[in-house]
Amino acid sequence: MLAATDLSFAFGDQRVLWDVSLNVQAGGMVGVLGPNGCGKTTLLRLLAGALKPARGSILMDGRPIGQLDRRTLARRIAVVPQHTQLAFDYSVLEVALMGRYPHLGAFEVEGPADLAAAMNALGSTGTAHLAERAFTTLSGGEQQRVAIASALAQLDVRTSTRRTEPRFLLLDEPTASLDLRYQVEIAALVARLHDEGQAADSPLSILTSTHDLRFAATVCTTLILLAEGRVVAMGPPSQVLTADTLSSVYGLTRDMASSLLPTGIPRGVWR
Amino acid sequence: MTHPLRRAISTVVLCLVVAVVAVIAAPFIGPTPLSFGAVFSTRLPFADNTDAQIFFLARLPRALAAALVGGTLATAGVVFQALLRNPLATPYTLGISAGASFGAMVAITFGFVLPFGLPMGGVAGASLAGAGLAVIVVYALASARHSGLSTTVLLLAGVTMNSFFSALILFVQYLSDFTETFRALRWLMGDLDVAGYEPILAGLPIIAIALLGFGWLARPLNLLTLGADAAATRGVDVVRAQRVAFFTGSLATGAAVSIGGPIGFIGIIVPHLVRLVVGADHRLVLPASFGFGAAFLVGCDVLARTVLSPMELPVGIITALIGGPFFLYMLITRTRNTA
Repeated sequence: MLAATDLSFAFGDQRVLWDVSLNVQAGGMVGVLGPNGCGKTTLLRLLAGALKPARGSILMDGRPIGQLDRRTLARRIAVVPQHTQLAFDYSVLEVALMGRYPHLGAFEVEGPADLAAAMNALGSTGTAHLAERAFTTLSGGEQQRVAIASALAQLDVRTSTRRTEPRFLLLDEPTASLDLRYQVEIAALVARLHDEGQAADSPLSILTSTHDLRFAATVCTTLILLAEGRVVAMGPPSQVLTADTLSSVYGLTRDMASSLLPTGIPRGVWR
Repeated sequence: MTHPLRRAISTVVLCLVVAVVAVIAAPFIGPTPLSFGAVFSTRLPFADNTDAQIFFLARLPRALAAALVGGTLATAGVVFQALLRNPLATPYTLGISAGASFGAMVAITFGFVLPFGLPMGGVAGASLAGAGLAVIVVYALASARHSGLSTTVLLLAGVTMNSFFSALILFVQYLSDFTETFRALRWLMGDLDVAGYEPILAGLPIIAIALLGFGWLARPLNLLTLGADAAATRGVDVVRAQRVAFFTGSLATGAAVSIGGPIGFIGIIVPHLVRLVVGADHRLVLPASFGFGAAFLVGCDVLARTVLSPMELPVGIITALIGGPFFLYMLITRTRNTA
């Protein structure tokens, strides 16, 4: 379990998060919602150990993540950023293999098992046929799927001795800036990865930030609504996504907010 | 699916072989023709063998210096491009060569020799000291307000240091007389007219340390091209990798410049050509760039020695004549791709 308690963070004088507490259960599927600038990305960076909180604690299975060395942490928690920008022309397979970094020693070269993990990850995101392509020539949706594959290769524990520990995949607005078809595709992919992750020895938990209410309502089991760095609502989608919360958080009229509620979409529509 | 490394490994080996061949072949080219048999003859004693003397005492040191400087500048270019995540970065972007040039100018103009017993000529030692000064200032600026190195501040500090040291160089030149100015100008052009093996041996330990650092950096640099955050969440100690890249890249550049002066464009042409062939993985790009950079500068130096023979051009003019148009070509094609 990934448990954050009373997290606060500031960039200089600019306070970003206030006393945020949340749990990601082993095998959980958590969505983080909130207006732009409410602290979603910062929350993800804190949970991944890329930033140190000013106050509060983050425990993974009871141990502060700050005490784990970064390679150990990286084998358990992977992050898919909103955009992956490469300064040089790596192939898709090379990007997936970058996920194997925490599994290798300083001068070690990826072996057959690492190659299998990378190809497997590309396969489960439907990008195996792109393996030889240059990452920078892919479309936005394809790049996003390859970025997810790299994170999956990172969390692939088949080569590890401790293969029953829960793993955490953190996604930062995976459907942002994608067209409708890719939004649906990525949403379906995330839902499927979560389902498949439950069958594994070590359950896969997913925490995703998103602006997509349908995605949040139908894929996530728990939602967290942030506003100005604070948790405004937390719970199952039906409790969090109400006309009241949306109208107050996003500054909408009540009618407008209720017209935006994702109602009538069956759970499991993505699967 | 074969490992991506395996496919390009033969190209890397080829680059290194070409470098070795270039170093052996280059000394045979020059105003006095040498015979291969005479140079490596075991029957004549070395003292009587003029061919061997010209080969080993006059021309081989120069070819070796070209290879060492070319390979070092090319790999340093790779490291700075990855550190700054900018394909247009060069080993000189952060002001190291400007600092080195300032040190050399001071030594040439004021005939000033470093007090501590550096095993190199006054000018080379002073240029290394100047490079060190630039490195310290740029590092202090870039790490002042960040736990890691801010690449934006690094770039800005480097650009500022470049123009600041250029101003100091002009000031020192203004104070110098005609012959000193001429010597200084020749140094600034980048010249491999080394006398003997001493300059190479003096620079070699520093370069060897830097190259070891590059070897360790190869994989972290791959991940740094994803960005600092993405590298960190994959288990890279970003701050340490950035520091090692900055200091080893600077050391290598400072040592190379102290041997050959600020020879331009090697650090950008070579990495780009190499990437076109072997891809972007630094475990391939670094060794291939060393080999190709070495061969490339040896070739440029042969051109510099022969194109206006018996006059010898500074090699920096040749690399600049090739590199300037190449750089512009790349700038145009890259902008078109990203637009």
